[in-house]
Amino acid sequence: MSAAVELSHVSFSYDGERDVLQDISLTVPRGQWLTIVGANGSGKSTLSRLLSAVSAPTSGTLTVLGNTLFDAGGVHRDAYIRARHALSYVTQNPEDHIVGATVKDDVAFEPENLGFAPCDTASAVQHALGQTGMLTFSDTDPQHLSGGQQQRVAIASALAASPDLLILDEPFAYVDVAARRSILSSLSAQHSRGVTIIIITHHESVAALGERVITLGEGRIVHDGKPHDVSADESISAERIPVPVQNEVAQPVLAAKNLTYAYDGRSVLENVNVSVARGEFVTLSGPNGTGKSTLAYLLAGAFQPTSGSVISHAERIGLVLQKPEKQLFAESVREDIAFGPRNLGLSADEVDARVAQMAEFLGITDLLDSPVWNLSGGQQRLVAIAGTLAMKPDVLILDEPTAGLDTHVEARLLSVLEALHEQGMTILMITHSLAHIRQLATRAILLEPPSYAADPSVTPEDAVTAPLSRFDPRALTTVTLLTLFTSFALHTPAQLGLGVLVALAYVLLAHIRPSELVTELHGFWIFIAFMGLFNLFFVQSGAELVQFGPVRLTDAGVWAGVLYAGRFALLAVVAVSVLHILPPARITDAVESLCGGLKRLGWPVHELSLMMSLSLRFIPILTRDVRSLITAQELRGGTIRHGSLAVRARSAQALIVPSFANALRHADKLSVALDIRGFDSSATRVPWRVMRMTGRDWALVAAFVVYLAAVVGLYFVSFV
Amino acid sequence: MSNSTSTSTYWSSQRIAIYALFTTLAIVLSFVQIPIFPAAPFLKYDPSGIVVLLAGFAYGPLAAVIISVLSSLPHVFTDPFGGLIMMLCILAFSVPSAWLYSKRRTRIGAFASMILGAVLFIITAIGLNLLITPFYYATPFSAVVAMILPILLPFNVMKAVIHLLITVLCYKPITGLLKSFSASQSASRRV
Repeated sequence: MSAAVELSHVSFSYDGERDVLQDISLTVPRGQWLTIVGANGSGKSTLSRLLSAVSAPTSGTLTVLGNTLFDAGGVHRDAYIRARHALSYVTQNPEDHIVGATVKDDVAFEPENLGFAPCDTASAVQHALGQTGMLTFSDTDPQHLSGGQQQRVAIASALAASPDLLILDEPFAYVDVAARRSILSSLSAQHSRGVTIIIITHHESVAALGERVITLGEGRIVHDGKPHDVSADESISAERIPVPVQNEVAQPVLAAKNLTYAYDGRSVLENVNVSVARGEFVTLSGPNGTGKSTLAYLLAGAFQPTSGSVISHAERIGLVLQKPEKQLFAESVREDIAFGPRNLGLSADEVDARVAQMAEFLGITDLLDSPVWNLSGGQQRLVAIAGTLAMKPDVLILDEPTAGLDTHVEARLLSVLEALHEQGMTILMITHSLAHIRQLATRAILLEPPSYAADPSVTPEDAVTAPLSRFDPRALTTVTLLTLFTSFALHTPAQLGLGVLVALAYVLLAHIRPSELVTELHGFWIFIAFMGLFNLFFVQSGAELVQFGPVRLTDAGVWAGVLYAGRFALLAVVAVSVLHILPPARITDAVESLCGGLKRLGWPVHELSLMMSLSLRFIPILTRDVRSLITAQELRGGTIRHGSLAVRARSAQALIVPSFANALRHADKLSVALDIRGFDSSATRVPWRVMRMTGRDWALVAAFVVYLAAVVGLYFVSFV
Repeated sequence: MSNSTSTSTYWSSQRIAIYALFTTLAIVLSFVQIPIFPAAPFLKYDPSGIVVLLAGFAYGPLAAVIISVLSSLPHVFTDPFGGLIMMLCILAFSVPSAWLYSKRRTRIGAFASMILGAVLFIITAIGLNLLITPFYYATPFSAVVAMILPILLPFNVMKAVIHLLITVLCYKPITGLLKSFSASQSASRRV
């Protein structure tokens, strides 16, 4: 049998001049567990893109799972597609991998693309979620999960299609110890089944897990051998922490009192009490999804709590968000660091002095005039932290500041934090690393998971999700659209009454609570009221009812007001009820299935439908990105939400380019994920949600026909 | 987007991801509704047409068709006729314009195509308003016709002018980003 991966004299260059990978020859036998380590910029990421059949080398021969992807004859595209179908690749940014609207739909994406039968997809999904400990979240929207949980979903998705080769880039960066253990055991299970595993990482402790370690340096293999035996148990528990483990202190400089935060009806934090005293270095740890990042936002005043309060005696709180490099927005490093000090109203000289001081402190002086976009991830991280430190906060909050950094940059950052603490800065740092706690903390806080996570019988979704529609989405979508159009045919009181009955039937079918209905309708009220009032005063025919001054109301006007406002209220109620039980993703599926005939005419129906569902998935991602950019600007004294229109317009303009650049990067990573996860036009996709018309669907169609007949009938009756 | 290493079909994953991204931007902006015409507060300005036009300039008329249609679909579900009208107006604004620009990719070509788009947009918007207003307001056809000169025409002219102004302002930075983006994609030798 051929090797899993074979590289022979492979080189890669981005610009045709400097080789990022130089003459690499490497054979990975099937079934091996290989770890590739190396500092930032050593060519690790480039190599991982070659191994996972995403990119082509500049020269050499590349063979993956017996498919010759690249040789003297150039790129063999068919071989690329075959190789991708047989391997899985998890990149460092799990959120960019996510395609599905729920966790289980996401995990099902690759099996669907590879043409698994629906029942096989279902059991693969079940199995993969079980292995990663994510079964309780199978109906959750992945966007509502924490970074660590999303990582586990990405790994579940990678396992679902039973790959022969599994490539993971820094898989444990944001994952807690318990999840790490469960992921490791599922990787071991895969390995014992003969799956080849390649992990790309910065960390020696991860390398210890495998059979072979390759160290990359400046684009060459500098070492190839067995791993050192670093059998470190990293699990965090109170007994293993040498410093006090307690949530609160006396005389805090920053305290959360009975803090509760709910988002989209889901409680993220419940009655949390934590505090930090001046001069402490406190670490905050806890399993994925305990609301650590949310707590950081709340403590820094960037979010408002649902209940409870944050008491701060700090002069200025600095907040370094998770992956802060995503919030860089200025063009050059110097400009980005200067943003905060400039907003403090410092003179140009003082701003320059601070920028120089911070750059020196973090060792990035030589980068000051480079564009932010060209830096490596580690360098961007340091720039973002410098931007916060340049504000000279007395309290600094950091959310997993070292995740994804190589050991070298990590060590530099930790020593910077140590020095800041010695200079008297109060620091609160979120971390999953026992080593960090031991090295830096003067006190440790361990957060408990929220109550629902402790009780396996309750999934977090129970509280918020209505029963999903049991109708065939095609029937429900078609009937609903026709009902919406029929509303415009209602003219008489009897017809309008009939429409009200139909809307009522929708509300009952959707099991939507009146309070939910009212909240979801909030966008429509003004429009409905305007329609009513406009027609009320505009129609002047009929008998006069009231007249004062220029205002004159007639009976025909009142009826027109009721009718036109009523029609729109019906439209809104029907649309909101249906969206309550039929998520947009399933409507998209239904429309795709209904348009199946166009596929035979050569229309790219599946591509368009995928595009639509992806664009719906982008909405929360992009809005969250823009919002965190705004938050990052505000934390550094920016003024997007305040000030005169001109000031705000200027700030908004400053956001357009970085927002768009971020969006493009998401699109790029998403396209990689699509390729890896088996999407290509030639493949025949088999949706795992089987759509079948049943008795209830035909009853729905019949009910609509009766409604339409009654509306038409009443139309003729009104003439009699 | 040309890709030096790939011999891929039209529907590459990159194309799908980037069109999806533009569709998202258009959907988000289409829900930003600003009344710009004091005489008729019920006529709202939404900036989504700009995104579609930019996409049409960058990727051609077919991209404009796809993004116009997909980004109006959510509206069809909440306001069927309004959603369809919106779709037709954006199509009229972006598709012929993108087509003309794809034939003449010069500064003059860009201006001519934008003017063409604006004129077609105004005609379509007014024509469809005549058709649709009776569905929303209990007004006779003649009353709507009477609204053309004082309300519909100035509103739609204003809308087209704002669209074009913002497009001109955003064109350089956005296409610059798109260019460096596709350059970096071909440099990374995606297959």
